[in-house]
Amino acid sequence: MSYTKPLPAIDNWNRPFWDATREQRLVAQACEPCGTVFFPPGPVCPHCLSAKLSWKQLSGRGTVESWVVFHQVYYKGFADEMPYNVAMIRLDEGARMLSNVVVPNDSLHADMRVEVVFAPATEELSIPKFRPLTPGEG
Amino acid sequence: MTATAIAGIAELPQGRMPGVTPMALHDRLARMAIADAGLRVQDVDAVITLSPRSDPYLIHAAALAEFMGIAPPVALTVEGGGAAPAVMVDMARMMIGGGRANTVLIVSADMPLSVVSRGSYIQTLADAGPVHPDIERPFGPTVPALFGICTRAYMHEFGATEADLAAASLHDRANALDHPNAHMRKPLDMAGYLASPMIADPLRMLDCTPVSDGGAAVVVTSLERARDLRHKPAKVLGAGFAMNQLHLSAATSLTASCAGTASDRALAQAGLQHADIDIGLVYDCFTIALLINLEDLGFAPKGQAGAALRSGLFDRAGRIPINPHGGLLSHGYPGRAAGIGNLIEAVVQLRGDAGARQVKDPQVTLTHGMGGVFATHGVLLLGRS
Repeated sequence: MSYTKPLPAIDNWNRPFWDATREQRLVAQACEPCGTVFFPPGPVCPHCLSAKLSWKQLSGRGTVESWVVFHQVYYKGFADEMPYNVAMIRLDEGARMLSNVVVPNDSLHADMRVEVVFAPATEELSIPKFRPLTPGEG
Repeated sequence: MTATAIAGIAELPQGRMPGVTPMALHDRLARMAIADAGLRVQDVDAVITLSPRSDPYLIHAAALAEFMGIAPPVALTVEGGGAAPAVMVDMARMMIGGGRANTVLIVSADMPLSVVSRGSYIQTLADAGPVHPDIERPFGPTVPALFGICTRAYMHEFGATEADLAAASLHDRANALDHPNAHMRKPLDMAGYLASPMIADPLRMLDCTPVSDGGAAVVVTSLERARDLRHKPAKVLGAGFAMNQLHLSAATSLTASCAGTASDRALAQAGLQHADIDIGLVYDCFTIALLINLEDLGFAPKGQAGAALRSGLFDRAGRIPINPHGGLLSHGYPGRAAGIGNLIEAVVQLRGDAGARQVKDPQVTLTHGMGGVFATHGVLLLGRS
């Protein structure tokens, strides 16, 4: 079955991010001088403006900062999953990332610890979503 | 800088405008504003428009000038999100101050409801930003989702509840009842608010603006010249701007912005104190925007805007009236022109022409506009000359 949700337009800035999802790895740009890890991908560090950046493998772990449960279909590909959540995850490395948490919506809570899981999408990429970590997992 | 003033204004009822083209709407608003100033269309030597979503013209301002039968030396189409009204007036001010123009016509209108359709307009907001197309859009957010994420973060941080969101919605609706141009004029109570369906939980339908056809026009000229025209001029006292990140993934905070920086810059330019402000026109594309912007603009302590709204502080008879016209939530949200209604209300109130919604003797108004998800802010201070 073909993938019907919105797909990213791959460009030179985000290609390393999406290429890594194919290998089930979560990566982000990190600033070499100041260590800031950030999204969205770009040419310079938003903290110190350095262009000395490298792609860093992340732990894949983070904390749910906030979320919505969406009740309106604006993207047809989400119609079968209504209502679906969209969450802001604060990754342990500091960057914020928008994603979906694979969990019943009513069990979402602020500060929930989560870990990345990869949902297959196309031959080129998979979609990094998150699942709850059980206590003791971190 | 040469003192400037708003000498003419025009606004039509916001809502559905069937049978009108976006260009005809611009033309009509332009002529009304010029007539309101007591000037002739030939007097206009600069036209500034905001590229409407409903009309894909390149160099839209030049197309409007041609449609109106005039050929002003300056025709400029700008894009500034919800902060655009302050941007456009400030540009007019600099043109007049620099001797580039004497009479600047600003028209900001759009017809997302009749020409584009409500659903398609919201889809555009999702596809063309401020949702990041590459690393946010695949997860299915739209603009209500981003503001909803800010809402839940705000509720968590400050212990706010749906009663605080409702306070914003009810405040604006109560004010809009007295405005003949407001889109949403049906009385609303708490039960009605709670009955409205969830869109992006915790945001209900009535936490979001309607999508409206509408907009407005203003004429800016030198204060000296404005004094000889038809109406008491609304003097431009100061303008201030600030921005941080456009995308929420890059946000430094989900519950605070740099609106206060823009406001401080405008106050410094005007040589005024916050206490001098008599009316606030605060950008409120969602209820959470009214709460956070009220706080960041210094009208309420962080986390307390809902309580302040409920206390009556911001009512028309309160100490600092806010959005006496009903705000974007009830006066209307005319697509890319959203926010121009705040500017019109500021002028109407300063003229003393607001009728049933007139605030007693205002001297200074603050008009705030916001682009993106708390990303760009424009503040304009107007006063009686």
